[in-house]
Amino acid sequence: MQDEKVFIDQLLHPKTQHEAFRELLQLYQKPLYNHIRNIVLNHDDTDDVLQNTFIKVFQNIKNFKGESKLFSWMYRIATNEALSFLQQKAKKNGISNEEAQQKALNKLESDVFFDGDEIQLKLQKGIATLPEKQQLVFKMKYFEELKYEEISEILDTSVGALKASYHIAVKKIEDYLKVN
Amino acid sequence: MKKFNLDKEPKIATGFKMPENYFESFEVKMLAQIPKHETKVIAFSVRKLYVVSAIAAVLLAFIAIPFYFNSNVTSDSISIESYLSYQLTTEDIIEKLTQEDIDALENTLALSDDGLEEYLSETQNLKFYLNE
Repeated sequence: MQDEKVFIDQLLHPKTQHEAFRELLQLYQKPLYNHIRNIVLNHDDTDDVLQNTFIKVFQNIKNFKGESKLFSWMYRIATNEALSFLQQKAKKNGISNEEAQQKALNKLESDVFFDGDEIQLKLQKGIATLPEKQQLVFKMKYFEELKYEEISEILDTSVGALKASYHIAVKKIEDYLKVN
Repeated sequence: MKKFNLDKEPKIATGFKMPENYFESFEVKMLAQIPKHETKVIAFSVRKLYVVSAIAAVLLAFIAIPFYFNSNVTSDSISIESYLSYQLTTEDIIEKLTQEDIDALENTLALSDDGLEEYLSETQNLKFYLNE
């Protein structure tokens, strides 16, 4: 991408922001969709969260100070939006976050937008056994193939802590897959 | 039991799918939600006001111009009358009148005999008129 500051200026300027936003969408809608989908699991929910994410990005780009990369800032917004969405959904249904995730996993088998086989479904169930932060680290590293440095900036966690977290997550999932 | 090694096994995909052309329609949907900058266009009502004002001004000019020129004509007529009154004597005017003009004036004025005698008696050139 061109110089990020120039691109942000284009996003802020009324004359160029429409085209710049189109470029932003083309660059980030797929990776952000995958990131959100890995958290909320369901396509329709992902669609809602992705929309909210881009609206927040557009509304708050004027407050973006460039202290992190635009990429990391957007991923942070998407992560917060997805986690908030899950919490609100669980609260609305009067259940815990874990119960809500279990419910979403059970629906996955009949989801028309999920064509995973047995091992894929098992992997999702194994991930669901992890604490929230470990789940995030595992999904971002394993499925999204982000670098530790990128995850570090998004989750505001040291690279060392992330490596440890991923290692523990992998071991737990392997154990889950071995037993189940 | 078989040891499962995630990093050595072939990568397991998520298995997630999305509707066909989802991202194309998502892009369109999102772009429709943000304001689109356009060259500043004067609102129709304001533009209409300008047009109506321009038409009104032209109409006003059409109405006012004839009045303006007519008033000049009137002014000119007064000037001519004034000029003639100073430059021409009664005798000069009488000389220019034809018999037809005199008959027409007589019919118009319809002077009574008494009135005519009174006028003639007060006129210094009575002798001149009697000879005529």
